[in-house]
Amino acid sequence: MPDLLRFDHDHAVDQRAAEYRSAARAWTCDALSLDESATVLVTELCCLEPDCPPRVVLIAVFAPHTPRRQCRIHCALADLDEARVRQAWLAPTSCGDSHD
Amino acid sequence: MTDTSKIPVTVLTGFLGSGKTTLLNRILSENHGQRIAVIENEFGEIGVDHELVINAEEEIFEMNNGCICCTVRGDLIRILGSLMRRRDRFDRIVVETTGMANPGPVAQTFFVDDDMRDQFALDGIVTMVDARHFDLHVDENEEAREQIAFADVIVLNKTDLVTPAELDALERRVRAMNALARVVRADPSERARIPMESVLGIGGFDLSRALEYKPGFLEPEYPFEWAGRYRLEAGRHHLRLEPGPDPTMGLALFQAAPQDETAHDAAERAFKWFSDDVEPVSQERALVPGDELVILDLEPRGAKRFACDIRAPGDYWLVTQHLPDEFALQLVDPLGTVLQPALQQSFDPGHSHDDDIGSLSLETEQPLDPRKFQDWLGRELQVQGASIYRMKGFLHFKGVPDRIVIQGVHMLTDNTSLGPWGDRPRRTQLVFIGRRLDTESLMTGFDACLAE
Repeated sequence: MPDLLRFDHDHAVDQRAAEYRSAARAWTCDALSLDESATVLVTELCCLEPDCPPRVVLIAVFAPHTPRRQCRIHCALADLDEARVRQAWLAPTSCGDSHD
Repeated sequence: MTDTSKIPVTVLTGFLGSGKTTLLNRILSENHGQRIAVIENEFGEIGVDHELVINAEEEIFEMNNGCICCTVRGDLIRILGSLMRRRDRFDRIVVETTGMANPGPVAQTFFVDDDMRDQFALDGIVTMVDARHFDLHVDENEEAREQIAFADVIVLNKTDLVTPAELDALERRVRAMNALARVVRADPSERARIPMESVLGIGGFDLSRALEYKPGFLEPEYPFEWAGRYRLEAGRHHLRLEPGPDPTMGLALFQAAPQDETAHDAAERAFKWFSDDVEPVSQERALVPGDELVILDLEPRGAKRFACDIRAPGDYWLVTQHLPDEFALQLVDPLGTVLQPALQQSFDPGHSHDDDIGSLSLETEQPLDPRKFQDWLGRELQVQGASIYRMKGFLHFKGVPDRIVIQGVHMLTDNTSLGPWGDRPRRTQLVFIGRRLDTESLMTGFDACLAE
């Protein structure tokens, strides 16, 4: 934290970030076999943990009648790929604390 | 901050019994032509069956290793996600929180990630206030103070239960806690009766509106609320006071400068005396003018009369810790005539009863360096984010033709371009509302962001 402050209002950068989030959401839905009733939140944050990479992606899943699930992947949103997301959800202990 | 492609969201807060549900019913039943989805925490019939009403069960979601200032409402995220799949059924969302709710996590939910920000616009946080019981609520409950501090609009409700003077005092107290909010008084003849446009479609905030409503809030804060200049003859005068909100009243009575001295000049002179540590005086001791603070002891409660000996005729300033109306204060001449000040000025109280909550405004016409500003604000939010309830402002960056508007809740911020400045004077105005803000750090850091 805080969120990544930007004042450039560069539409191309915004568009790329939206695409990264959309991809992370789709990979999560695949990994967890979620249907469209689930809300998946993908947020890139600055990490304050000592000895951690400076960016962390937090993915949280809010599915009906199901406790929230979440994981953290210690990389920038732009560096995320399907394998990392799948790995994170398969082995949630590797994604840091979950608060759940 | 309003974008027509986004769904406007109004968050309705207020302490128990303040009239949130009454206002909600008005919002739902008024003929404003908008279809409203209601998300509410408290169970109960709304009484409007064609509206979309969803009950939420609070689900607190800490985003980052237990960091308290990045706490959002998971239940809201679920519901908002669900509502988006029924986007064609409503035009606006109203979230009614519980009386004890901290508005922070609710507000932060709308800033939590880009997708949420793309879809929803926090149109405003509306806080209902029970005018009769406000002091009790605020003195005893952190949540009530936070609800005031977070608000864009504060509705003083149940105004029929207090006197006009009490209502004025209440408004001053509320404004001291949140200098930016629009304060609206409900019609005393009908609870929660207010113009709908004052709570719906307010567009987040408008700094010029805040300036219009509270022109003094960017001025320096003084530890007193009022100064009046009197022409006094020699002889024994009296200060009369009725019981007020405090058991003591601080004041300074001193000779005016021979030249035309403004109330602000007098305030600057009196400022340093008000930090002195002095013992309260009883009404047995006659006061004499001097460059000093005097604390009047008003205990036991009851009408008080303090003699005041004027040795030389002339102009004198009376500077008081509280507004004279709060104590029905009168200055009476030796013949018993109640004197009126030739000049008077009210000041924003820096000594508010809610010392820990306040506002800081930073302003400059010089352009900011975007990189320096970004780095500085990031650091400040990291260090002070938990203390910063709201942040709002317009930004004027060097080399950027657009007017940038920014708002934030704790550590989370959102900013957008409002298009070119055009003929408007280019100026950065940034306001922080929070608890025990490190104002020195904010002011110094902001100054360092000016472009070279």
